[in-house]
Amino acid sequence: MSHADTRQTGKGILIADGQAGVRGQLREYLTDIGYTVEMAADGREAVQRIADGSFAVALVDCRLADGDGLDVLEQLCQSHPDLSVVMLSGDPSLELVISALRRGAFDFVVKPVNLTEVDVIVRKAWDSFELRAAYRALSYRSRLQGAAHTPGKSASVMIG
Amino acid sequence: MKTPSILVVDDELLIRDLLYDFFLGQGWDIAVAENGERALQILRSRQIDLVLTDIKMPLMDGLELTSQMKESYPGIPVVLMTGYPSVESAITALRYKVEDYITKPFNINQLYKLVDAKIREREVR
Repeated sequence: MSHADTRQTGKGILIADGQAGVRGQLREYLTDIGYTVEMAADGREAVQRIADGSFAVALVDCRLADGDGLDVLEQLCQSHPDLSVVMLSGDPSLELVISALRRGAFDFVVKPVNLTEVDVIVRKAWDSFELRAAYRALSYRSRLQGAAHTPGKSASVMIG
Repeated sequence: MKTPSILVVDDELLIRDLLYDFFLGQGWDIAVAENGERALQILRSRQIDLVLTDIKMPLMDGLELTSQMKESYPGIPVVLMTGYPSVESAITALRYKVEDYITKPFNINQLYKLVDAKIREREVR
């Protein structure tokens, strides 16, 4: 997908990182290449912004001021299963990466970030979000059509 | 539930034999391969529910096998196991969307529970 397309979807990228310098660097770069970017300073703000807004990708630091970024990852994967969550860490241990893998992270970026790498990862994360969202919409439509063709079920579909 | 079928890929004969005997004892259908190339041959010839593969192997390692499987067999879950774990290989595993990454030595009963759960999850989907 092109960056111009991302502007037209109305969706954005959320950056949750306790370091203002990292947030600023990522926001400036991603905004420059055409994404809509919002920022959160901690986990609670990140979860709130995701709940209130419309996002395709979240970049979440593993160490947040108010707790563990992996808990935020798990929470976001449950509440927004289409969202692609990319974890960030300046000092990743093996256990941290394995835990991110098990909790459903889309990718893992080691800080200091390489902006070219971020560009590639965000593109893939965005494409993955769109694929999941399209698949979910298609499955939903198929279920509705299947139910509509089953005698006695069409009324409940129309109502419910 | 139908008999689960797994493919164990490891260049260490001891590990292959241990896992073969164990899973056979559970009544599972099990195939073994000593490297990624042989594993791909087996995948072409029979139905497999899950691949349990070592990372460090000659000819084709477990990460390369996983990469090729994601292209040709995206529906088959992969669990990586390694005696030489590293942050880099774990990040690569995460990017390939493997089901899990476990370090050797492992507890065989815990491994069994993990593999069994992954196969059941796949059946539900």
